[in-house]
Amino acid sequence: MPTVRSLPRNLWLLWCLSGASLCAQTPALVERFCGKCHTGTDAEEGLEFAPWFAAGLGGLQQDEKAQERLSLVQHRLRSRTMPPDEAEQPTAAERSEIAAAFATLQPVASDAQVTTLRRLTRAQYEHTIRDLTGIVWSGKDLLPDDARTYGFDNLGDTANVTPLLFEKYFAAAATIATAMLADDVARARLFSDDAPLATTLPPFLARAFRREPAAEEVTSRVALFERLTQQGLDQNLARSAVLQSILASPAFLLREERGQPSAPARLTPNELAVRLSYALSCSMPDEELFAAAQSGELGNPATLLAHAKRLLTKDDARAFAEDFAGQWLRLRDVLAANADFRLYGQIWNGGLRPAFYEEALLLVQAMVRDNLPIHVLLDADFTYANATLSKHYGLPEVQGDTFQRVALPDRRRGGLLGMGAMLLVASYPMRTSPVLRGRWILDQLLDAPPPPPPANAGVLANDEKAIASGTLRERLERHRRDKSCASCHNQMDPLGFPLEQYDVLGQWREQLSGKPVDARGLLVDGTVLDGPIALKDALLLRKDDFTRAMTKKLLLYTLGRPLVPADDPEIARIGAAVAAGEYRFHALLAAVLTSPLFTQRMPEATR
Amino acid sequence: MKLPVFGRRAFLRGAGASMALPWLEAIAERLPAPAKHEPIRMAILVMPNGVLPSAWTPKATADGGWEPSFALQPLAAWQKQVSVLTGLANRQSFDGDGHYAKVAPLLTGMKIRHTGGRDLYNGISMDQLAAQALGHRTLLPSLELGCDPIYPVDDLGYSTVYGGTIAWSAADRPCTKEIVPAQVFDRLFRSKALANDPTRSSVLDLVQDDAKRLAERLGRRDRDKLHEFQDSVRALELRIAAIAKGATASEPTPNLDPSKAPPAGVPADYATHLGLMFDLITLAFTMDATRIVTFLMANEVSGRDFGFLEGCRGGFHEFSHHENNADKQAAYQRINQWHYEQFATLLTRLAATKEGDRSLLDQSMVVLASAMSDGNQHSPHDLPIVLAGSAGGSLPQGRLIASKPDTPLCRLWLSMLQRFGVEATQFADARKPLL
Repeated sequence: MPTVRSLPRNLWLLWCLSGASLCAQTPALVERFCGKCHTGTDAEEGLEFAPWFAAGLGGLQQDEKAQERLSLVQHRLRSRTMPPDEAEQPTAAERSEIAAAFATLQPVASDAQVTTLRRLTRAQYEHTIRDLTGIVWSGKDLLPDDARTYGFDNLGDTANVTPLLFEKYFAAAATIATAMLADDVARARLFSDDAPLATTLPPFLARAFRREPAAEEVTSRVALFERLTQQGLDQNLARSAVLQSILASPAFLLREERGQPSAPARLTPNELAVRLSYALSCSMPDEELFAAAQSGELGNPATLLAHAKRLLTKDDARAFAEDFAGQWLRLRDVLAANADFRLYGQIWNGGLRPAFYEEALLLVQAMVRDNLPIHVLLDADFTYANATLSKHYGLPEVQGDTFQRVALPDRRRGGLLGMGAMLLVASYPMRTSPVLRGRWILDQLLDAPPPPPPANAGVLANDEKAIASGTLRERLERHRRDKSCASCHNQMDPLGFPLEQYDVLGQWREQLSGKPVDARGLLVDGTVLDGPIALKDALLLRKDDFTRAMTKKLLLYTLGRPLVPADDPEIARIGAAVAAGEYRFHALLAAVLTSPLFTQRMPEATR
Repeated sequence: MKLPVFGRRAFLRGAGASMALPWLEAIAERLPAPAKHEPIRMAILVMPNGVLPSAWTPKATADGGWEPSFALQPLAAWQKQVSVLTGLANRQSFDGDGHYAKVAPLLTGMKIRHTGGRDLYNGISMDQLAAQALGHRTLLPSLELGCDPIYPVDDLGYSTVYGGTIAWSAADRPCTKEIVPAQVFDRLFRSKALANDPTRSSVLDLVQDDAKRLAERLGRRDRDKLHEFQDSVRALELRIAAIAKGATASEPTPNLDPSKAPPAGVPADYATHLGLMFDLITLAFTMDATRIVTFLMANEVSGRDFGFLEGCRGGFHEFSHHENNADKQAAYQRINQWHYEQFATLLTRLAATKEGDRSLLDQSMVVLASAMSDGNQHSPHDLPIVLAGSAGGSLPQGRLIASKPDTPLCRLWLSMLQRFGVEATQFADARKPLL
């Protein structure tokens, strides 16, 4: 937590000048739940709220520091780390009313709901190249990992096209053009020996640019081709130049959404098709989707949904699982996650981490394919395993490398929380971490990410000596005795402790450091969760939190922009629709895809 | 073309043990002649997670020099060519908590905007300022190197991008760093092929035309992004034009056998990774492909396991939060020391490469800095900085340059910019040079 200094002078001044009338302006609930500590010159952390409400939005807006402190307060409220445990707790409704009161002090950027121009991510680029040209090309060596923002790599804000990156896309264009020209089938997608380029180019450009090409975009390329061949250049080089001019074009690399509407405006059918296909297939629209956009049918919500389901069925939701769930649930990270080989020799089995990844993806794919309730991710009576994984988990034996659906004999497995992917990603190499695992649950599943630790929080040692010096539980309990630590750790740790039953690599264990595993987590409300099954039951009671978490992640991913308070009403509406639809995946899909957030482009302020 | 005076053997000897790489040998055979006016180079290396001040801060000697501390022991042999600077700080980073708020503005001297991603805002970094002023003289205006991709997590609400980017070409334009040695190598030798291709400029013209048409259809926010795209295309066009005209000093391609390139991908071993990058910095300076390099040796908050060092099994970041525990401090300072061991191998490489009467090191300014001092406190004061090389003889070395507490770090950057040839009288919060 940042060091909070005393309030800036202008706010103090306002406070002094306005005198007694202030208290009347501080909302009653803020007064009741926060006022005891956050009042007067000796206010906790120097955070005094009365002057804020007195100064109002106009006063606060002038002051960047005050704004930072405001966002800290909001974070604390959201993560339920304030008011502190020992103080009177607001009900959920009261909490949201308090949050709303503080939100009135939060200036809303006028274009906060605008998505910034998106560049194709590396994954999108690879998929799009495959679908456009027929060439399978891996960018892993050439293109850097895209920066992940709020957990996702496809947000427009951080999708810069730096000089180095353009150079790489340009180099990629040359490589792909060469590959395409060397392949008869791929080449025929653009070039024909019987028809002139002027005829074959427009349909290809329409697919590459994901819209009807402008006349100049066609004629300039035809002219380029003719000029080069007239100069006596080899036809293949001239063709390659045309291809490169397409693949390095901003119309291909960037996802254009037109205009600067002055009010929320429906996306064009093409733009909607593009949003849909990148959201669900990590690639460009296919022919049927383009056709539906052309005919205008896509504007019909039922048609939109039919295409959504079709796209997901087409590759059995593989790209969706890899790109969306792979980032949301941090499944991707398991492929590079480390366990200390001296303690966890199984890590040498090169097939283990890919198997963890596969198992989790297959569950997500099953949820999509069979339209299962989304909370199947929290608890399921089946999983997928191959020989490596069934042996690792001690499940009924599966032969071979191919994954098969396995009915589970008990509830120790089933759902993400019993999966090596989640358990390894949220562990340290040498030991399990109830903190990391609890944090993963709060962040990924419950939409209640705890605030980051303060600078001087300290880190539990991970070396052997420290681990030997006391059980983790004792060490964490010592840590929690510190009040500033307790408010967050009381949220994280009890959700993580039940998972102590699994080791770093997700194997079930009965003993830890020579003692029976203590897998009890004590929730703030006094509930004890003993072991992973109790944890799953507790999470199943919080379906609506889980729905909100998944909705927000899906919106982040599909909209490609950070979510802001102005999105909250729509998020709540989607949540209600999902609940009304028995929490089934299609209910979520429909609610998100027909939401104005998805189908509209928001206005932006003029500078 | 005549073989350069420094010759192959000298070059190879210079790079020390990890230089036994076949591809470097092949390059050395074909190295171009050095530029006529031996130019000044600068390299700024940044290591993460701060240092243990008690093991880092050197004592002054009577003659104004420094006595190697525990962490600086590996530089003992370089005492006369290296100065140690104390007391410097970026005052603009005092407010922002955590790591990212300190590393992103290390070379910009600005206060970064507290954002998780939208509307990133920093300043132009000193290396990019130099590149924009004088980078046109070489094949590449500058090189931005690193070892880690951008980490997936933010730091107290500061964007992931801040944590992995020290070079900024404008307030809202982080530079992509290259982390794959083979890619750096390709880039150094790719240019002539680009210049020789008869179709390139027409292709890029078309791309620019597309961008112009697109700009007309976009909103304000999107246009800003597109401008970056257009400038990036322009950067490539300028480069190709310069090569085609023979305007850059360097000889771009020694027609290397591509099979002699460094191995593809990111090396698994960290020391090997750093060594390859050091080789490439040396190579780029030697062939005068660029005169400006930034190298983020690891992203801030790196949790790398230095288990290959005695007593250092565990995460770097965790050790940096030593909480005054002796065991953690021992590991922390040993990891710090290891970074100077690596740095010394770069100095060895540069010193062994002759250019005229001097060594490449003499012709350079090479900095190793961290954006924090004590990692336990995330302290932004008294940053640990060493400066090697004498900038063509204009920079007396071997000194302990102790400044008053919180002297603007940008005064050092301003000094370096001036020696590099940039006509600047101020930079960020620096109004006068330090040296």
